[in-house]
Amino acid sequence: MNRRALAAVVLIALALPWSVGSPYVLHIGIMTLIFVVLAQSLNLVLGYSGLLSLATPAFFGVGAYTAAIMALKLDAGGAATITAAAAAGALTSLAIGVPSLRVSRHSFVIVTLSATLLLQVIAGNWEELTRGALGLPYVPAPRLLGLAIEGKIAWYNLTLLFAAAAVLATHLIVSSPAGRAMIATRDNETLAKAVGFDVVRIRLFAFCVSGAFAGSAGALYAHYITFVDPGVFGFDFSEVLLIMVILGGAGTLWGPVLGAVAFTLLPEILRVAPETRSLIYGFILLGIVLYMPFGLLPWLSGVSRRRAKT
Amino acid sequence: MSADLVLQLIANGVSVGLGYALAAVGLALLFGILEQVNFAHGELYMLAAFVVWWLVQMVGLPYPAAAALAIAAMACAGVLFARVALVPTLDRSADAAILATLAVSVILQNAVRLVFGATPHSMSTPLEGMTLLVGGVLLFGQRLLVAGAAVVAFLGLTLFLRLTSIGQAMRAMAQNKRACVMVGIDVRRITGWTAAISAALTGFAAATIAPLFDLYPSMGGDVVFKSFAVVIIGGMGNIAGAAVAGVALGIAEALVGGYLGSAFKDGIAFAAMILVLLVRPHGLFGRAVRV
Amino acid sequence: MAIRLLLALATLFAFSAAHADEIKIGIPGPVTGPIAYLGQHMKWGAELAIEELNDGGGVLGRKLTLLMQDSACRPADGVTAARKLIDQDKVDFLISDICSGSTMALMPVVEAAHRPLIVAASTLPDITQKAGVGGNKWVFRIVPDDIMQANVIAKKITGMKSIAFVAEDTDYGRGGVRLLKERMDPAVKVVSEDFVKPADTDFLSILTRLRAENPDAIGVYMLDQQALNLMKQYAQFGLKTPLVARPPLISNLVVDLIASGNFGRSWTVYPYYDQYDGAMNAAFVSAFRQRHPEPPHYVAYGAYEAVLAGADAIKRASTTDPDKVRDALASANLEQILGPLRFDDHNQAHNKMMFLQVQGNKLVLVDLAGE
Repeated sequence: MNRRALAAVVLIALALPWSVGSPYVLHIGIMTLIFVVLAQSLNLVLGYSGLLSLATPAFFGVGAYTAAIMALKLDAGGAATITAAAAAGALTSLAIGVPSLRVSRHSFVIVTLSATLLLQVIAGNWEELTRGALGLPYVPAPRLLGLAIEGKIAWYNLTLLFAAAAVLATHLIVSSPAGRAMIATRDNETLAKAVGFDVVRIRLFAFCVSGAFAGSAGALYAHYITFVDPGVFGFDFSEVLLIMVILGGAGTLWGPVLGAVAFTLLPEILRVAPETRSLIYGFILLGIVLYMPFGLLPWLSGVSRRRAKT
Repeated sequence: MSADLVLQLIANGVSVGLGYALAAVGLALLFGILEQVNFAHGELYMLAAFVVWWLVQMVGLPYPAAAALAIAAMACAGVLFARVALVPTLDRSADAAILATLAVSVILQNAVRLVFGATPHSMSTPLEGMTLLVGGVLLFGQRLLVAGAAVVAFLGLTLFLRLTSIGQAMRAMAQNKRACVMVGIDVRRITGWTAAISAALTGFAAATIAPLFDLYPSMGGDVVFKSFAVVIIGGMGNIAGAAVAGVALGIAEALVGGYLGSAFKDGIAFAAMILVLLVRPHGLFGRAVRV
Repeated sequence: MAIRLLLALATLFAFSAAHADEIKIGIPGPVTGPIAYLGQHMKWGAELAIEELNDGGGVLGRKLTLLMQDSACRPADGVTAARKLIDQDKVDFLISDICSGSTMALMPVVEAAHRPLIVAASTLPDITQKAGVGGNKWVFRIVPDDIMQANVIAKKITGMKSIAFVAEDTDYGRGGVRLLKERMDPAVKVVSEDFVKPADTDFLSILTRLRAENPDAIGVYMLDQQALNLMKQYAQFGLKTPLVARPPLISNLVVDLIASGNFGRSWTVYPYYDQYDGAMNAAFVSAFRQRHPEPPHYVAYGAYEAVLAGADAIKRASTTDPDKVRDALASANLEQILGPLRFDDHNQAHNKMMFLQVQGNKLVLVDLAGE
């Protein structure tokens, strides 16, 4: 994405809270930014490492529960809950990744799905810790540097910070030698192995960073929505993230960002037709899959490239 | 525990398991031949169930006629499904089929909800309420029909794949898609056939199984999960494997659910999948369209 | 081009579809998903109340209108739906979602936005424990909570020797069973507990085991869709153990099953039954039946009463100013289908509940119980 477009995006993102006063729009913005972090998390594994993973809700859910439990039972501050959540996400990714990254791609999908659903069962049954199906309500606002993050503008700025950090971190990782190794492994695993790459370790690294991203997003979610229940491990999160990353443009830096924006905005725009919106959404989804095979971002860049030529 | 209890649980498990196998065979076929993951499988099942219900309760057809008509309708739906979601994504990455079928599942679920409403519906069949007591074990009429249907479906499919030229073309496609094109097999036509047969089999499953439970637009979710479990444990695309895996899963769930309780019963499917995939990554019987 | 696109989107959001002089009622509720059936009933109940009010000239001379946005019963979606209803559609008050989790997530939203939220379906006790005095002043509940129902059920269980539980694995099922166990006679032995996923349809192994264990009763906490499957299979098994606690025997879905005579001595405690023969109920049910193919579900009754309660508060406050409406709600004293509506200092109403028992092949209202 060229510099001018990037500058425009940054300007709009920063200006949004002051130009549109509606808490609803800011709320959409906040949810979009949380999903940007999640989308980049999946992008590292799916886009840059080439592995279809359904484990993102596992890291997200563990992060959400960690933050909620720490805030409710230990009265921990925001820095502590978010850091702990990121760490918990990373640890979960290790626990899932070590056994599963050695198996075939098909199996990997299923093992990640099963692990996520297993965590959901545990969250629902370990009642002393999680209150089971009753969930954890009234999660307090996070306290950062002594200030409680309350109100839409403060939340928007916080999530904007995290989203920017996620994009920047992804950029740095992908441009680093480790990142190149990830891409090489994705493009040609046999060749990568032949050249001497430790494929499993490279993937585990990507998985781990992905876990940290998703875990921190979980903490943001827990503090913002103030209610955490086993639903955070739900497959519907995986569904929406797959759509955002793949249809946004997997393996690109800004594709998932565009995907997060587009697929958070689209259902909201469709709320003008409350009964049929899900049906319309399905049709739009199908259309994008069929006619924009590489995702929104490559399609848009293709369009603008064609424009530039004429 | 009494022998009666064990026998009853096993009988339950076999009948439920055959139901799982029957519901999954369409998915196994599609994945085996086309290597495409079909996330709309549950919704196709749901659609078939609603078609049967509508024909029986609203149009007033007798159950067997309604079932036959529904199966035919599903075959046509399968062809349409292939045209819309499977053929366009045939040459693309695996993700494409996943997202395309996911989109179709959203469309189907919401279309049915808008047309028929969200109220659960009940279907009555001639075998309803019929029970047989065989040596202390209770057997249910409709479930016996399901068991019979499962046997018919698997045998029928096996014969079809072995003996017909289309069946052989399908098996060829499963082995090597590109070679098929070179040999002059019309890959698109085979895709259409595969989807039609898969949908018809799913329709057959829905026609026999769905009357046992109530029908509502979101009923596909549970079906699709169990079907995926069966296909994975049995070996992706392995038809015979799916049959065995289905029955095994049914029996395991019945025994565990009966003795240990429901929480463990849910975990069986996950645990089995994880274990099988870690120990035998291609499923218990290996990946191949083996019949 | 991208900038133009974004600006166009911004204007879309700024635009709010407003008929400024209408009183708007918002429901963030399940339009799609597994609870869609109940969401449909909520909408029908609310629409009926609004139609009746509008036919009577509206409230303060203004017509009322209903806006419902899909939450799929998920907390995050519920918050988004509520935000849209409050900020864009400018609703004057809201009726809460069905699932308690979603309602809980809505509570801070309405508090920050200063809009009254009337809870007419969720039964989690936490909701009103944190409402009213010393808590969230904007949340009101007009239906009994799980504790109130547990108290009634516990009394009816005394005398039994053993009970087994079959419940959905949600806050409703888990909470219900736990609250009942805390309150019931300790001499009653709990033989087994089965918590099933709400999407589970097959109860063969559970019923097999229950047939062998033979408890005095089976305590059921389940919603209509799933209970229908349970009862169908129960009938096929030829079990005779009564279903107790909260099986949805009142549901229209199971009318035929009950009529088949398989459920004698089963009973349930429910906040509402469409065949309750009070005068106001008869009028409500007949109006409902004229418009819809089924009699009103408990959540339809709840939404109907919620609209009337909110409208009454607006009338007494003579304004739609949220603070005044909230105060008017808190001091409500409105005659409703089950008696006068009055809130305690936690904004919880204390309506009677129905104790219904199957006698032969009919469901009979035995008495009204509760505080």
